[in-house]
Amino acid sequence: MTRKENQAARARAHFPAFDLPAPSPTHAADALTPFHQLIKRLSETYGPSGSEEAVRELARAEIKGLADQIRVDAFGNLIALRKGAGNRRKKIMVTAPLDEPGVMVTFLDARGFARFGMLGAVKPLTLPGARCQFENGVIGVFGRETRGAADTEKDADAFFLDVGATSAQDAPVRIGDAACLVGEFRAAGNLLCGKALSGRARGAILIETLRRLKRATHDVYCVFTVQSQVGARGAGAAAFALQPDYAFVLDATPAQDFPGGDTNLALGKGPAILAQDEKMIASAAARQVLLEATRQTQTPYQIQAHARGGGEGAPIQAAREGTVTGALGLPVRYLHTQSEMVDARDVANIIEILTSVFAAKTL
Amino acid sequence: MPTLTDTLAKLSAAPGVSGHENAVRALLVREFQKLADTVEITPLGSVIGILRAQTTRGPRAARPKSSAAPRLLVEAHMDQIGLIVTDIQDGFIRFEEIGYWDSRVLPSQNVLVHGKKTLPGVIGARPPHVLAAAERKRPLALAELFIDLGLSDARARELVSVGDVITLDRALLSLQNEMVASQALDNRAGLAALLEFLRHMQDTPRAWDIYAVANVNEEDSPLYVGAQTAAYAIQPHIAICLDVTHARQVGLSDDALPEAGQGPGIARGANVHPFVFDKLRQAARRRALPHQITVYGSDTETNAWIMQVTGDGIPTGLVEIPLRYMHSAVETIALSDIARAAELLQEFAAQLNADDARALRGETFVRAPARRARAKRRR
Repeated sequence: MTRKENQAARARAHFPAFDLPAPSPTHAADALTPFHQLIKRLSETYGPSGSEEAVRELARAEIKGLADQIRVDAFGNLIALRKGAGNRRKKIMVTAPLDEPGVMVTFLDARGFARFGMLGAVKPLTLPGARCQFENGVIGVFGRETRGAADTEKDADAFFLDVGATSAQDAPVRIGDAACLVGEFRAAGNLLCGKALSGRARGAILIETLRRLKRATHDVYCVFTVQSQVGARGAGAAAFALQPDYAFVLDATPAQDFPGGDTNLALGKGPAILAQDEKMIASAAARQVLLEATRQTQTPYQIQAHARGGGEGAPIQAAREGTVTGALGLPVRYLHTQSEMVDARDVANIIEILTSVFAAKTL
Repeated sequence: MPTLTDTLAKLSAAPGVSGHENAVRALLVREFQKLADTVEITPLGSVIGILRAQTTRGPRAARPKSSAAPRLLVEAHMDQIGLIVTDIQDGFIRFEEIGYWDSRVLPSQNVLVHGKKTLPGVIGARPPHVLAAAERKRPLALAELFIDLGLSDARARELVSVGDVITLDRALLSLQNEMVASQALDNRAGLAALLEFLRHMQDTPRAWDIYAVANVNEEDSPLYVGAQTAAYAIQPHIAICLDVTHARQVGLSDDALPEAGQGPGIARGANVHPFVFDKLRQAARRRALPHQITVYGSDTETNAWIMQVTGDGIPTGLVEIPLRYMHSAVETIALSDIARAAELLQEFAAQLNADDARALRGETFVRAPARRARAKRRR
């Protein structure tokens, strides 16, 4: 192999998706499977933490007819029960978030510029020049103070939102209004990219699993949770109400298979079975169930042993006398930005694994 | 009767990193089965040993299977801080910490990697000769450390997986003057006191049911998920936490700290119910047990902190074994403090009566008579 060929081969190995001829956006949308179109619709829907109505209604419409019971609890979680037919059936709870990271207006100055606080782990560094969208469709542009600029890169207080106003009175947004980030959905081969994608891809997984699931052995509660980004607020309430035998959290695992990344987790190598995150050590029994499901379905998997990111597992595990709780992480690059990137193969593999768990003879 | 040293040596040799407590739990289940009427395990793996109330000295069979007696929960956490495999590079193990470590104590430790087999290993680092001057002045970062198992990359990958846990390989060492040192004496010292307490209670008359609990997941998170869920399941009238606390030592001579060997600490502060504190101190005085008062403005950083606000709220107390060199490989305690903590709890449990439970449930407060008065008027 010549040096040039070698380089070309390595480039291909690293970014296989970008070797494909770039399709036009319309062409790409046409080429999406119905499932990927669902992911796209979910990703493009507005739903920062605390304002999940639109996403919830979309999810509710999608699961209509796929569950024996559908309800929304006082907190706003959407809960779908698919009854099992097994003799030794257990109660399984699976969660995926409805909400997405965003910002909330905290102050409007005399010239109509808005200050904001974060809803979830949005990093200021990713914002200058980016846009956000409010529920009423108003677009805001993120800016950063230039005075003392060198010190303020990570300081959220130095950022502001320009909503095209000239005064506080004529500003089209009010204090307390929430906005999501703006990021167009794109697909390139197996790679899917868009705003809110990490969460919405997981929501789509739950919907698609319900759709494909022919016969469940166990009683399966699919919980689409609210306020996951601001400290997993919804999941604990649902677990307290449902009292499941097993809980499996669909989580996001930060994949850093990019230049200068410092974890060994990658896109496309299968979902991550969590050994732990920042707030929970996964229950051994739940880990075993997930491992067994990967064996049954012969799907690849990775293990996340880094104590990073606090998913929805901790409050579920701590509910009442304790819940056996495991977590399956969808690997995501650029988490909490307007361009979250996931691999469609990981998404498909999680569906396989969940289906296998729901239909397992015994747990 | 096993000696305290035997018990402690066995307990500290059984691995039980937070969330991975299987080995130490198995040992505790066996011990609890000898000492309690019923043994239960919570969904998360905490072990509960129930010893029913018994008003006379008599055979165990005479006790009722269930009872309406008030419940005393006495708990100690069974887990220990540890390490977890995050990557395998050329046969060397990279790792992260579970629990709050001082990573400066890690280089040069012998370890056990709990993979498909338990494998001995050493934590290595670059030798001082090759370090730049600036590097020699700072402690090694976790990312610079690795574990050498003596294995090839292929063999290491065969035997060890990402997510396996690692403990220090450090057996119990008997020092002079009835003091012992080992890894994990936080909180195997508390567990030893719990078992000793259960032994004492075998033939001690008591009006309350005793729930001895060995909890999982204390070291790994600020959530204290093991203690919270077990306390929720039991809903006790009083909960006592048995844990270790910083003892006075070289470089840490704060007068407020207890001294190892001078008796267990009885904690006082916002985390401790005044009724429980008073009863504990009375018990110590009645038996003339050496004890020390430890004071906490708010958070005691023990399971007592979460148990206090579990369910309807639980009157909580804290009994502490003073320990030097917390979260190191040579945690050091005095055996006499364990023995006295067990005696203290025995005296405490023996003196609790039905009136105490009523007092704690607020029935002697003004509100209750008022309600009765209203009811009378209605009649």
